[in-house]
Amino acid sequence: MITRQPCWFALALVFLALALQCAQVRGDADFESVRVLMTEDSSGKGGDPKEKYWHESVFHPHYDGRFTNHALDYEDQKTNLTAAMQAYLSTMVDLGADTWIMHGTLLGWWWNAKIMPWDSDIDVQVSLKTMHFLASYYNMTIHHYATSLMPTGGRNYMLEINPGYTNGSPDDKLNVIDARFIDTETGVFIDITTVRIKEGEEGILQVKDRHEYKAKDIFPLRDSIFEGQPVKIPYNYAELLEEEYGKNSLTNTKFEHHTFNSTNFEWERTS
Amino acid sequence: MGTALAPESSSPRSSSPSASLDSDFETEIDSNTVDILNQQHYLSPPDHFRPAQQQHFQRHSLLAADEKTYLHAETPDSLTSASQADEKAYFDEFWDNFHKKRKRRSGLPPLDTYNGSGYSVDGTMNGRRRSYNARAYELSHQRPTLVQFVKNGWQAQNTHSGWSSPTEIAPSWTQILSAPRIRRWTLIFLVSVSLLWLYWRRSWMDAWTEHRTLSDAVKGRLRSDLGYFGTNMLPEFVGMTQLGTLDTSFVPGPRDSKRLIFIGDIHGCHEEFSSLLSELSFNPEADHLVLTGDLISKGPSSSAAIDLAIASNASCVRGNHEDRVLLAYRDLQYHHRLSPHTDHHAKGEKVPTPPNPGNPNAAKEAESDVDPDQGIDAEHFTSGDFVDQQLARSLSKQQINYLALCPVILDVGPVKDMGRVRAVHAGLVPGVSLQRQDPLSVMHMRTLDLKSHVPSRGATGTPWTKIWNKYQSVLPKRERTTVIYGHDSHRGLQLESGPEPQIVSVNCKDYRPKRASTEELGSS
Repeated sequence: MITRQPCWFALALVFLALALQCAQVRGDADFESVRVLMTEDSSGKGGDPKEKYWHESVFHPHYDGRFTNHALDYEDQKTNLTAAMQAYLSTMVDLGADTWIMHGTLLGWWWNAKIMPWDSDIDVQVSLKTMHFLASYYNMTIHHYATSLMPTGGRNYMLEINPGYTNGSPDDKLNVIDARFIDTETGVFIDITTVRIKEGEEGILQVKDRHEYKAKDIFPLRDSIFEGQPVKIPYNYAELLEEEYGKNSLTNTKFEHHTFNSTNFEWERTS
Repeated sequence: MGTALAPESSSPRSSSPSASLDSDFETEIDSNTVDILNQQHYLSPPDHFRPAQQQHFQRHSLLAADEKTYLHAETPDSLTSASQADEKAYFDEFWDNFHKKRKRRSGLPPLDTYNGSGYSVDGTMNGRRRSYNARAYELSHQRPTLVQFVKNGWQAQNTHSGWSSPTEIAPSWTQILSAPRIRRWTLIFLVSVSLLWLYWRRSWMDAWTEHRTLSDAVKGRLRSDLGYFGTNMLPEFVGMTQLGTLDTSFVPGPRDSKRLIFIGDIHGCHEEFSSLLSELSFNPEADHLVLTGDLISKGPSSSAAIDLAIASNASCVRGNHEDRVLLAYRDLQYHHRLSPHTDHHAKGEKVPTPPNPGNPNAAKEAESDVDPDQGIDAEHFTSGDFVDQQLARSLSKQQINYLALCPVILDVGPVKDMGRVRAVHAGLVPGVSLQRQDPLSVMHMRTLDLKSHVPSRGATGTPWTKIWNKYQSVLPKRERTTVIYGHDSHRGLQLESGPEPQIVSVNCKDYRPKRASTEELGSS
């Protein structure tokens, strides 16, 4: 039965419902909603500002406290980061999303196409279009992988997007990382940032962490291999590395208590 | 001399000291004669007083009568009657007094000159000698006569070689160094040293320091690879061939008339490429072309240039522009933008159907069409990527294949007088094997860092060729490598060694505001 008088009321209700649907959900994925094995939350949520989306663990800045309460030792960390990298690259290829490695991870690729053993921070980049795509369809998705590196049963990786990615201003210092690819068992993750065209300047790309690059230095991307997986590399990799880390980073074979063996191309621990 | 005159009468004056010395002479000389003689021979002290000459003074010099007034009271008498031994004693006494006076006056600087002439007590024969205060000497000794210095005995008396060197007192260092001659020469020496130093600094120092730094740069590398560029693992790139080898049948031997022709950075100037080949009288049977990269981009007809290269069966090397276009092509393939069903325009489309090879406007036509796909990928297609993607679209699969097969480094093999020859687009890092040369650097480098040998695209710094040549010079001759390269059009043609080249070139039209330059060299 359709009445005439409460018509406006019904319409108002409908609009309210629609508005609620379209409203941007700013809540983060809190411990209760994502936890797998943990009973206690080790994320630093309590101490972080309200605007900050990510809450790194209280014991280590590169571990997610919702999934673990301790950092891994040297060997385990190396293995798990490698597994995470392989899973990420594989996922991106499956999704058809362009991504490339940067910063310390690119330097590791330069030396021997692997993550540097002491590096706990993995950095990759995507274009804004790719980020829109991931955010629209693949936020909070779990990707299951079973490889030789993992124990039986395989591993689940969660792709989480920071809603603050829509704000491209470098002034948003609390939300510099736009997305993370998180190992839900060990808490290690990969940082994903977005390159955006800098307003007003042609041919310059910028990232929220205040890095700026010439578009010519990144595109067109090169196809290479990293940790046994196909990966994309920025076009002018040597110059990018030199600008960020200095000439020594390309020639010095001694870093962080490790020595590079130029015969078997491995970083060997010296202390 | 004076003895030639015949004496007439003896007079007291005739028994002058000098006359008395000469035992041969008993003759007497009259005063007039003496006057004449003395005027001729006697040197008046204010004008001509030269003790050195006094040594050579005539043994038989005579004193004029009026000269007596100059004499000390004691001296003539003592000398008149003295025998040689007494004279010696007198002489000793004289010198003692003299030196005492000198010693007293040792604090005073000696006179530089005495009427323009320098003289010294050491009695050396010629030239400059140390000065002493002659006036003071005169005054203090009331000037013994000139004749007193001239004695028979002075030849025999070795002790009084004090004329030449008063051995009692050696001159001190300050006295030696303050002598005018020493000072003069020291000054000349210092001035010439500083002039020489300035000259060296201006002309040679730069070359010398460069030589030293290059030597250090090279020697360090020869000792150990550590700390130098090239110790990393070679990055693996899909669709890129690191090393290719030229068919040995193309390499000219010493006796045949084959030619190996290298042309670099054609940059799509198909017309000029074609006219250069005819200038060279290119004979496909005997000659072989090697293109050192950057065959395409910037110029008007990249497609036609590739076709001409394919038709000429030219070998090629991957340049930085080929690199970009090939990567852009892969990108387009990956995103399925080359397949027909996603493309929204057919006009001027060259892919996947074979294109119209000779159409110079192909790139422009493709550009003018708006591709709806591009709107979504606007952030990818910034100015750097866009041009390459457009060019990639305009090329056919066969042309792309030709470019893709160009290796980064082409090993030409051993050539007479050139050692082992390699062709690359931009350069090579010395001391790194061909398998380990970083491809990005090989296609872009212009300079090398001296300390670490890190290659750089920029033009400031040491050109990589300098370090390369230095490195080769240290190697034995049979291990040397010659690199043939393009890319650096600003530096232009650089030929380091070998016989006098014959350069063949053609002019290029200016297709852009920035001239698309081609460095064209023909070498056999």
